[in-house]
Amino acid sequence: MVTLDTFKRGFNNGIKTLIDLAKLMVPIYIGIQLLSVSGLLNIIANFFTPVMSIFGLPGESSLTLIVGYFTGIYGALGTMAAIKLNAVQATTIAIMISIAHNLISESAVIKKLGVSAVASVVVRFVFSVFFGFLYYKIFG
Amino acid sequence: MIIMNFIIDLSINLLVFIWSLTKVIIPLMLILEIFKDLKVIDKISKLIKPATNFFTINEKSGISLVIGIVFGLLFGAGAIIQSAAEHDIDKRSIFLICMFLSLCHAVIEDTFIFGAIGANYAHVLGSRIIAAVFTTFVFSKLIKKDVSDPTKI
Repeated sequence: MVTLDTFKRGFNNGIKTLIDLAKLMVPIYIGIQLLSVSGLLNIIANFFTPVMSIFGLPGESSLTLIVGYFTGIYGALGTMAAIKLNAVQATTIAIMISIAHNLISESAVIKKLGVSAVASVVVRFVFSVFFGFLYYKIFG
Repeated sequence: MIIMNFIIDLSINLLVFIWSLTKVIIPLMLILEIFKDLKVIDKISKLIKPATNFFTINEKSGISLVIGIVFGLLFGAGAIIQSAAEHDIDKRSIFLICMFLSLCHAVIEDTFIFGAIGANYAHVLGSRIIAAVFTTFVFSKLIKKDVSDPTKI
């Protein structure tokens, strides 16, 4: 039954999610801005430009992928807030990150169920890269 | 002065970004709680039989698939452990569910969050579903059902 309590829980969960999100996103966002001001972001971006161009993404997005693969979606959002992307680029990277993110702790969950963590990570990584490439080829 | 402007710019940018996520996350969490209290998952689970048949997985484990898809990997894993304790679910079914959920979990939250910052909702959701269905189907063909296993479907 839906009661007032349902809405209270929903609202509290929402606030909790936002706080979790901000805890990760804000430091990462500030970190990226500092990298940008110091000129380091440019160096990283130039280094990754050839790889990222496979997906039609700017070199800076390599940080979104790395942060997303290791920490998860909230961290990836922090980097995306700092990097200007068009609609196709935003969708490309959203597809890549939504398929593969937070790989270390999520594969630990998979392993707890007695299933190969390697299989999970390999499948997710392959589809992340393949669909990123495919999406750019079709819509880019 | 330049530093002050820089900090103000950053703060405004961040607040705008967080606000655009807030507009999505609060209603979303309300909807998910309403789902729980209306027992929507139980109702969907009855409709998932064609899917469990398609992947040739244990019918009883269908509910953990739905829970994982809607609420996330951790909730799905919890449901798998619970249903495995109650119904003797075979290892093959657990493996196939894990492959599906690896690629496709918490889809409502993830899709809306990326949608809120300018990604195409349908394309993000569609890609994950295609990847998960394809992978699970291929694995279900590759891994033969063990007929000697008493916990077989």
